[in-house]
Amino acid sequence: MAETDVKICASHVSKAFTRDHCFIKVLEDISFSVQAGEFVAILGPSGCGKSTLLNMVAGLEPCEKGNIIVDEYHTDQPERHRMMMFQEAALFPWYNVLSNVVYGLRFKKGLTNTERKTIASYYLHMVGLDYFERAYVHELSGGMKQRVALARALAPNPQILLMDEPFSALDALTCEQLYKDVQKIWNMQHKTILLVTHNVREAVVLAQRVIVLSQRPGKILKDFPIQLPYPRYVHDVSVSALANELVNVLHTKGGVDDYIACV
Amino acid sequence: MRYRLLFQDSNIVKSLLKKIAYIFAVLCIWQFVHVLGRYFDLIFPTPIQVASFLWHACADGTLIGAIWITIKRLVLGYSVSVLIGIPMGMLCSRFYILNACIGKLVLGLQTLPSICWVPLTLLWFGQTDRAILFVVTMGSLWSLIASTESSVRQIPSVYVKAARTMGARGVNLWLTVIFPAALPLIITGMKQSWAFAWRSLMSAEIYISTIGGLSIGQLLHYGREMQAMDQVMGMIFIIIAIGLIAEKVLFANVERILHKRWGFIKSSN
Repeated sequence: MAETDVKICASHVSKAFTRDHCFIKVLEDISFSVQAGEFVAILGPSGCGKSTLLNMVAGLEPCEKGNIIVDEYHTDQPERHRMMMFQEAALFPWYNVLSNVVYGLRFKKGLTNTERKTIASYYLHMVGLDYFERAYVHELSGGMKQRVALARALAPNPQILLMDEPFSALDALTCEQLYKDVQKIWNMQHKTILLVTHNVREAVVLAQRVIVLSQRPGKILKDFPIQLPYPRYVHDVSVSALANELVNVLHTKGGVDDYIACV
Repeated sequence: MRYRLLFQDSNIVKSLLKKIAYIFAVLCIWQFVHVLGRYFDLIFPTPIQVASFLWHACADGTLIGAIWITIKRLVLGYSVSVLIGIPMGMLCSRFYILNACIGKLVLGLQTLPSICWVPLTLLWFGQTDRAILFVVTMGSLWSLIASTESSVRQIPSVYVKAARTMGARGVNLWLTVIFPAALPLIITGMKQSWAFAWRSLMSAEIYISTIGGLSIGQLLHYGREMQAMDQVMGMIFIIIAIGLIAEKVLFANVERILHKRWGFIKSSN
């Protein structure tokens, strides 16, 4: 593929924390690249530094060693063209649903307030929450909250969507529905998506490529392509087979003893 | 629907009747103790004497005037606290250096009983309204700074992260996310600070007698000087009533609305 198609490029990224006079190495020599329009999952046991990696791509945390380049720029500040979803929906309870989605557009220049509202309504419709525009955040279920968060992240029309375990606090049925929706939206909009997860099946169902990280300090164990046709379902036999393969990768190479695979 | 409304109404009436019966019982015990103990009216007046004092004070306008003067001072002094305290608390939570410099000072001044400001303020401002306002502000400001600072530090960091990815920066981030996220806790701090302001005002009014109209604290104080215990007790009731009204009507409603909106408590329907 041509050089210009590379959307996110991380080279030799390392990160360490000093907490209570202890030096904790979190990430070690991480290099990978993501093509434009690609759906990549970063899979690893909890505490392996995958969320830290995503925060660095988002520009929320500085990267100490190595660099991350998005669209030929260093990621030292968060930007609206790479939006982020979190494990918690992180919706603002003092706004209603529509205003929450509008907030994503609030600082985008060259839009009138009516245009912002129209765009927000469009994305709420896309995630299937047309009738909840006036609802307050605490009135929604966990799955609905994440849908609103998805709409809010999509509304500024970012090129890159960063997802930090957004489905991990949801029940299995809600997850299945959201996997379908995310696949549909990715198919429609061709965003570059970087998903961080500790759920093997989730990675296999959604991503075109899974980057497997070891336990802390996180190193790349394997870059694993998933060549299954979309749409994929959690209960497909082929998905299970690949998930098993990935679990084996996690166990053999990384020596992940206390890791409980979610299959 | 109609039936339900009626039912709810009768519930309200019932609880009101219960409350009236309870208050009446307490008054009866009071009267009973007075008769049984053969206390002097001068030392321990009957509820009827206290009520008649309140009635006369209302009728000749002293009480209304005093309440007006006191409330005006309270609102003024407390407003100054809020206008300085909340921005100051937010600045303290934002700038480490500011917190390091004045954080300890705030904590120290917060522990100082507000009555201790009276000697100082008497020399600075004399027996004026300004002296009283100074005591009220000093009594409530420091706790408000401290509580605002800790409210802001307690907001979930994910709100700030999310807002930053959506392009919120600097003042915008503070006004649209950090302040509203901390608001329920800030209101709790304001309530506490209001109680401090009220206590400070009462001590200031008892100690600092100003020229001009009589205030509630002064009426209480003169009650003692004139050996009019019915006046002292009557004013104590008024002070309790004002405190209760502020708590139950003002803050309780604001808190209820905030908590409902912010989702701390589930709405009833």
